[in-house]
Amino acid sequence: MSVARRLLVATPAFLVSAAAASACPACMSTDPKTAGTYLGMTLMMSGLPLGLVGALAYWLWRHYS
Amino acid sequence: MDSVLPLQTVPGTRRLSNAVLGVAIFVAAEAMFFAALISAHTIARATAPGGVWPPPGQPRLPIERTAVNTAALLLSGILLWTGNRMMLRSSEAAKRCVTAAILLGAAFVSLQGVEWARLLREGLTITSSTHGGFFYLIIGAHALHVVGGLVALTWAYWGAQRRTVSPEVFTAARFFWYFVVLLWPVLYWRIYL
Repeated sequence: MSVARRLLVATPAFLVSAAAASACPACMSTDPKTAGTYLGMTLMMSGLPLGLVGALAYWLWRHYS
Repeated sequence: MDSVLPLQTVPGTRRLSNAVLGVAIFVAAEAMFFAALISAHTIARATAPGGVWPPPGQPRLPIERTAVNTAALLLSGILLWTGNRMMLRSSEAAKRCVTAAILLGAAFVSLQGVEWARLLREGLTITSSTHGGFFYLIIGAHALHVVGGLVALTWAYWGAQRRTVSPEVFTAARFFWYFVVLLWPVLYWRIYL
């Protein structure tokens, strides 16, 4: 059996048999306050680098324009 | 009118120095470093057993005395900003402002050291609890930045006055100091309050 055929068989089998993982603390937390904290910190850690790069780009643009 | 200090780049020049750009990138990286620490602390605080923070039996942080210290550091930033703006008009007043800013920064670190010694005597150590661990890690990292900023600022100011250091280096040191000053109220809010 070729690799492509093996993948074709294995992928649907894996998708059907895999259980949901508790990888999201914001979704799995029973306390709304804790879930909110996780969500807030996730947003901060995701947004801050974008904000920093954006601010640096804006600053350079202002400096040279 | 006093002679103009060589501490400021000539107005109208558009060149961005390597020192300033380097410090800007460094500050961005440091902002992420502190954001990660604040994030970890906030989650540890939110998930503390029973929702009690600081943990029972641990000393309380000196909120009032640190508020005075916070004011000193903010004043240091304001004086540095004012001093830089005055440099093209009055060099003596500018010198006084920058010197006062450096001294206030030194006073901030010294008072923080006194508070740390008192907290250690009261039993708050880096291994006494999660609270102690986060406190010394985050506030200690900021204190290291303050010391580094003070050394850089003093060296750049001293060198720029004697024309052994370029004005752009002083600008870069000022930029780093503003970061250190503006970061502190956030840390005070998250750690002390």
